[in-house]
Parts: sequence; C-alpha cells; structure tokens
Amino acid sequence: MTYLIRAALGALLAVGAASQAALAHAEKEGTRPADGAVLTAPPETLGMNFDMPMRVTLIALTDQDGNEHALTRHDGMQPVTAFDAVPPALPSGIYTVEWRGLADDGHPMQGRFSFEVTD
Amino acid sequence: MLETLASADGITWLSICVKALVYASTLLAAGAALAVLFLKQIPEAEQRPLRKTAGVMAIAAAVLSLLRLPIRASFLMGGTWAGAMEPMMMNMVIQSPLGFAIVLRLIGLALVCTIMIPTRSGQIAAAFGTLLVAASFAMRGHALEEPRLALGLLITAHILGLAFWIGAFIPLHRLSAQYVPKTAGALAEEFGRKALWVVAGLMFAGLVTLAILTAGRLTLSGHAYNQFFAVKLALFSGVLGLAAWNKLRLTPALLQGAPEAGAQMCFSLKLEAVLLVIILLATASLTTVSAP
Repeated sequence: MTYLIRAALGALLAVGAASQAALAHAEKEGTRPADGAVLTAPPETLGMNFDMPMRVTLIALTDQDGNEHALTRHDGMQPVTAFDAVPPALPSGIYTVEWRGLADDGHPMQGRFSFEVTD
Repeated sequence: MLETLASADGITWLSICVKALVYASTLLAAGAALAVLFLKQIPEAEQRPLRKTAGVMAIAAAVLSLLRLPIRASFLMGGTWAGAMEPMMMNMVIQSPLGFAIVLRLIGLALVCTIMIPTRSGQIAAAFGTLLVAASFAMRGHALEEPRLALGLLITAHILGLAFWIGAFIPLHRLSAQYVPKTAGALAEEFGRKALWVVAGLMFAGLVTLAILTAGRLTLSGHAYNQFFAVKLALFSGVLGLAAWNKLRLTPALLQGAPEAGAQMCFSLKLEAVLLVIILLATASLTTVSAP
C-alpha cells in the first residue's frame, strides 16, 4: 500500500512539475507588424524575433482571398534570431504570414500572424 | 489540446505515428536486451525468443528512425511530398540534432543486435548499445538546454529505466500465459524487486529533469503542452498502480500456485501495455504538435 501511495504522490508531483515545460522550447518573441495590427500604410518589412537561432525554411504571405504575395529574403536560410523579409507594395486587405523553421535545438517550429492594411 | 490535434495536417499526423513507432520499437529492442542481461530468472528457453525480439525490433527501429528524416524535411517545406525529397532540406535535417541523434541510435541499435550472439562479448556490446540508444534521446530538444550534461544523464537514465520495464513484459507475459507458476512467479518476484529501484530512478530522473527545465516555476496552465503532459502523467500513474498490483497481489499468488494468477497477470500486463502505448502516442503528440 505504501508503494501505491508513493506512486500516486510521485505522479501528482510530476503533473505539477509538468507545467510550463514548454518554456524550454525555442519561442517566437514577437513579430513585425504585431499579430492583429491594423496599419494605415503597407509594411516595408515583415519580421519575427526568436529566443534562439532559427532557420526559417518556409515563409508565405497570403491575402484574404488566398492569393500569395512573393517575399524577398536575404538570410540564406541560415540560423537567425531576427528574421526579416520584404513584401511587395501591398494594397488594402487582411494578410496572413505563415512560417516553418528549424530551431537550433532541433525542434521543428511553425506559426502564423496576421495584420490588416487600411486606406 | 484536442483543438491542436484537430488542426494538425497529414504530415504532422504521419510524424506522430512514426515517432510513436520509433519509441515503441526502440524501447522494445533495448528493453529485450536489458531483460536478457539483468533478469537472471528468465529460463534458457525463453532467452532465445527474447534475443530474437531484440534483433527484430532493432532493425524496425532503425528503419523507422531513418524514415523520420524525409518526414521532417517535408514538414519544414510545408508538409509537401516534394519537400521530403528536397536535397537541401534533407541535408539540413541530417546536420541538425535529429540527424546526429539518429546516427547515434543506429550505432546503438546495431550493437543491441549482438545480444543474439550468446557470448560474453556479445552481451557487453549489447549493453553498450542500449546505453547509446538511450543517450540518443538526449541529443536534441530539452536535453540541449543547460546544464546539458546533467540533463543528458537524467534523460538517458529515464529511457534505460523505461526500456527495462517494457522489456521485462515480454518474458513475464509469455511465462504467465504458459502458466509455469514457479518460473513465472520467480521472474515476477525478481522483476518486482528490481523494478522498485528502476521506478524510483525513473521518477527521480523525470522529476529532476522537469524541475531543471521549469526552473522551479510550478504552475498549471491551459497550454496544450502542459495538458499533454498532464494526460501522460495521469496514464503513467495508472501504469504504476497496475505494477503495484502485480507486485503486491499477483506475484505472491503466482508463487503460491493460485489457479487464476497466470491469467490475471497476463490481463494486467496487457492493460499496462495498452496504457504504455497511449503514453507513447501522447509523448509523440506532445513533442510534435505542441511546441510553442
């Protein structure tokens, strides 16, 4: 019985300890523009900051109709903590940036953020 | 948590399934070898199928581990099949911690196969192989955080403990099914005695690893990662409960030759195995879809 009690206590402790374990992963610290931002002028660059070097392997910008807009990037798919890409001149609309990458610790990452350009 | 899984694409689901199969086959290969090496009550006739299991599972684990490379490349290219064959992406994945971990695991699995050679040198090589296999899980992700050496050792110990536990299921189940009470009881008694230390070590390694990674910040949140972990540990407490039942009730019954003890032990082991499979699936999901 003591064994059972010890086991249950251990499991409970471990459940508590499991919290925020995700902190150990690479994290996206911020985007440019910020997620949900409403801009009065098209952004000159789109960017992301990471807390550990990241190879951004894929980045795509699409508008509300699903049309893709080509981005120009100069990182050469090398590990960076600050990633920037230059969009074409964007008309008014709602845009979504989707990306995938490989963090230095080997974790594959993905994410998305959106912004709106108004007249 | 369910929302995260529901939004996963096809390549992510494939990745979860292959990763879970890698875990299962690798743990079975290393575990079967560890059972041969450390459970002295396994009769000679049972050692042969156990050695064969180690070899077959090692080959399966090697093939499945290699399959993870194109799947990872495909994910990085947006989940397309063309991405899986993209040489530049494959090269990037091979040079990443995943590539290094797989190379180390392949060497370890090759050494584990030497358990099929029933000589002292074969056993020493297999023991070293299980160590490399376990260490391969410490070559990426969380284990690369500081203090790296401590985390690496803890994760290696955690995997070795889990492998020993899983490996012991095979002869225990076979002997219980055949119902040779004295033999099955003696093995269950030996396993129960050794597993007590293994479980303590496994939990100690898991808790210290979590304490280091969370830096003592112990709060539950609704993050999918934490929810996966809570599910995983709730299931693990179920496995511990069954293990305690086996040790405290079924093992003495087997030793006393109780008529139903063999069938009950078989049922309990099957239930433990089902819970462990779900734990492996939860772990594969946890490490695939819920990184922030």
